[in-house]
Amino acid sequence: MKKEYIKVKLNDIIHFERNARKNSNAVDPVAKSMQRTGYLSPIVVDENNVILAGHTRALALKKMGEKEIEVLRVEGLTEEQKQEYRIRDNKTGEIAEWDFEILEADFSSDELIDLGFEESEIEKDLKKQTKNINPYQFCHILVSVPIGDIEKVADIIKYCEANGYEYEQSNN
Amino acid sequence: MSSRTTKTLNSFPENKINIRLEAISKIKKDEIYVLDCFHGYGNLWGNVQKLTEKKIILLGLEIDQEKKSKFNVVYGDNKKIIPSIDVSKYDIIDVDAFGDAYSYIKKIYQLVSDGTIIIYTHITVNMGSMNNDVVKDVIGLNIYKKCKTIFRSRFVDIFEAALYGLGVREVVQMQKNNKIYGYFIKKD
Repeated sequence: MKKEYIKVKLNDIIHFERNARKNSNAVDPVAKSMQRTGYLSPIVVDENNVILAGHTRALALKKMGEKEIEVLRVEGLTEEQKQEYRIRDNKTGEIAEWDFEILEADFSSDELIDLGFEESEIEKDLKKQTKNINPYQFCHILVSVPIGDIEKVADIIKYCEANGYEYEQSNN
Repeated sequence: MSSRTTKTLNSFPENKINIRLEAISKIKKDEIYVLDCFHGYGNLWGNVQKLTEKKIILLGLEIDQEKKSKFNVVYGDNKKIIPSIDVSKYDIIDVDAFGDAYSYIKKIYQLVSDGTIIIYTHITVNMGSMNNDVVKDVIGLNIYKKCKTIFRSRFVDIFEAALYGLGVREVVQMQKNNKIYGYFIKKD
């Protein structure tokens, strides 16, 4: 496998037509990131300039008006390897988790939102209430009726409905 | 990006900080003894100390020896350490668990003094299996294993019922998704 950093015209980069990532929502945040810090992580392309990793970066760079960029060109991968890399490059990032203790020490909530975290993730402004607590207010009975007694199920359901009880019945 | 040195109540653990400040305000003493069962780096209580004039005298329990703190810390498994600590001398017991707080509360509830405030973060991890002690004490493991989904949607009710079973009657609480943040005052 041969790897080299080369300069290419952005218009010469080809988006993989079966890219499985829906990245339209990510374009603006990625563009914002690159406007702040620059284009630090080069797009990876194959010998035909088809993107292996960096579809969103390519769209964001185009939106930013870039004409020519540096990419990492990789030659010698099989089509199977290329497709596997496209998936793994994205999928492995999903496995890692954030250490919120470090984040909360180093960033404010507004900074984290600016960095792309959702408000729901950082739990801003939850409503606090003082409340009296109670014993558990429900009793659950899981009843299994033999199929030979199926008609009795109708009676049970009718009874539950008449009394406003929650119930679930299996599909048979 | 704003300066890292200007952390205020707007910072991201604000909910937890506010709960702790409120708890402190309920203790009519100038020196507050805190046992922090999941101490970490001590960031949370470090921020609380910056926002109160009361002096916080804190003992942290932390399993990860790499996590250094400005407070006093005992490193090790908190479940093993807690039984050897005289919890009755603390004004606040902080059980900021990333998971099950109830099993800790259950262990210490009868040992803490009247008026002690127990602060908790109780999380049903990924809305998956609920914490064993909560399930055992409120609904029973057998029926839970057969129909988990019925109970997952009621995890707040079940957690509160578990506290009720210990003797708690009032809580101050916030809830978000599968997390419950709150505190109560132990009353005999």
